[in-house]
Amino acid sequence: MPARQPSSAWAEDVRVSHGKGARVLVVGASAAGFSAAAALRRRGHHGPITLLGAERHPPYDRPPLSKQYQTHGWDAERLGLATRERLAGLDLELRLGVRAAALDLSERVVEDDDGGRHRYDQLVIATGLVPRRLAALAGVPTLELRTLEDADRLKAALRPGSRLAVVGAGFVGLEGAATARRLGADVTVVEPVAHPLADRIGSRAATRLCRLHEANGVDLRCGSSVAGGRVDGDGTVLELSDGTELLADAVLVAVGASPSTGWLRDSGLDIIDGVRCDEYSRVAESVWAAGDVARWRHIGYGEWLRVEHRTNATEQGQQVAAGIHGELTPYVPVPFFWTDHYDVRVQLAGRYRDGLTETDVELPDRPGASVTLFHAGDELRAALAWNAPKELHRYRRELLARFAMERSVA
Amino acid sequence: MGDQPDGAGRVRDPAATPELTVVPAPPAARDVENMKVSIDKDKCIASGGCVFAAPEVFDQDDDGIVVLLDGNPPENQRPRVTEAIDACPAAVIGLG
Ligand SMILES: Cc1cc2nc3c(=O)[nH]c(=O)nc-3n(C[C@H](O)[C@H](O)[C@H](O)COP(=O)(O)OP(=O)(O)OC[C@H]3O[C@@H](n4cnc5c(N)ncnc54)[C@H](O)[C@@H]3O)c2cc1C
Ligand code: SF4
Repeated sequence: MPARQPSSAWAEDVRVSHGKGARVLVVGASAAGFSAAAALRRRGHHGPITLLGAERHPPYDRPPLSKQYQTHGWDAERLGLATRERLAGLDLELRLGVRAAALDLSERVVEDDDGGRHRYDQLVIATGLVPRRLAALAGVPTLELRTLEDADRLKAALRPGSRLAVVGAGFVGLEGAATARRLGADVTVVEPVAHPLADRIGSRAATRLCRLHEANGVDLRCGSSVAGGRVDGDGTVLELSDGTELLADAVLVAVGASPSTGWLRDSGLDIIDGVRCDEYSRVAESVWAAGDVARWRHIGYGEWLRVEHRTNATEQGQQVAAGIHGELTPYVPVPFFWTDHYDVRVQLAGRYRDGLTETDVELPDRPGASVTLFHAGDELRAALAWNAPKELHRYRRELLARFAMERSVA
Repeated sequence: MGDQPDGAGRVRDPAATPELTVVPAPPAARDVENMKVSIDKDKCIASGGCVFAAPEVFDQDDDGIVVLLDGNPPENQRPRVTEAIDACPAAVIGLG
């Protein structure tokens, strides 16, 4: 939508409610919300900034929860997105353990579940995702992996020789499997799709990743789903669709996550698959969204996108901060993510989709490492690096250059 | 100048950097207390964001992991270093 032409009464108000003195309320105190807040301060924002977060912890990072936090003895402090000193320096009002329950757009107020009312001039929605549950396992104790508490529960369940069943061979499920193997647990992964992740990183890389897991002792059962489960003594029995049963000490359900938008139900906003934004990450007048929860119009791709990657949370948070300060440029990032399994780091820049032409780039000096390029005609659409982060850069730059025009449109 | 805290003092340590004994006048930028940048390499996910923001302060090794080129960059690098901190998706960089 085009920027609204201010009426004169509204123009009076605009000096306070826009710009660096505005009262900013950020709902969701994690990667995207913190990024917006930090970027606002870096840009000289002097108005009050409040972060409302349902979790009790100061902003922390999620990617290590399935990786180093389990395997490298990290403590919770190491997950922090900022040190205590930096947080203090940013002068944010952190309202932790407070869950937003409703948004009133006309009053510019967010109500929390204790009845507290939080007024704003500018609102940033950054409430991320909540893991999906499996109806077939209702009543059976399961683990999930999104929060620090989830990670601690998983940590407690992973011991040498303990049997872990992972439901879902997505990135989080497979990272969990690799971690559990590293800690000596026996791991079975159950996945209904025959070729997991092929739609995300291409079938060759996906197959290579599955082989890597098998070589590391993971029992990967693709093409079978969980039909039910029951508690049996100290363990859990999973009943699979192929009629077999699987006995596990712990079950990690990693079947994806949905946008955390329940609190916006009565707001009048479009919350079908995330909060809908325009090309500037703007949801409505003075309302913005960033991170996993935001679905925006990417004018470079000419599509609506919602991206569940860590770097997007950072970049979109920064974009929103600029928008709040009146610098409107379309948000046209090149998606980028990494995922770690054993001693392999896979990174993808751009967007993979079926039907692109694949070519491999020779990396003679780096055994086992590779870069795969995905083209549509002559045009590079995505690049995947297998243990080759540095080699990926030039392709990432090439992909970024494609949107240079769109980025400059105000 | 002798009362300048660590950053400046360390750079002019004649044993560490003999050439500075030949050029006694310190560069102007060193008169101000420099920033102290730290990194937690283990957290780095090799995104390259910091190098993009502050190429004079950060580089990457062959595995893409961040390398600190200058742990005490001059004050005029502050905006770039702060930008790198904000751009880092793994909270690797600290500023003291
Ligand atoms: C285990 C795991 C591993 C991952 N690994 C990688 C990886 O290797 N690479 C990668 O690119 N990405 C990875 N990701 C994805 C990455 O962590 C996310 O993209 C990122 O966390 C998104 O940040 P966000 O701030 O948008 O949302 P979130 O991190 O989900 O944060 C949203 C916050 O909002 C809070 N909240 C929700 N509802 C409310 C409410 N009503 N009121 C107040 N607060 C609320 C939540 O409690 C939460 O703290 C991983 C994710 C997980 C879970
Ligand atoms: S921005 Fe952070 S994660 Fe990326 S290379 Fe630099 S230090 Fe590493």
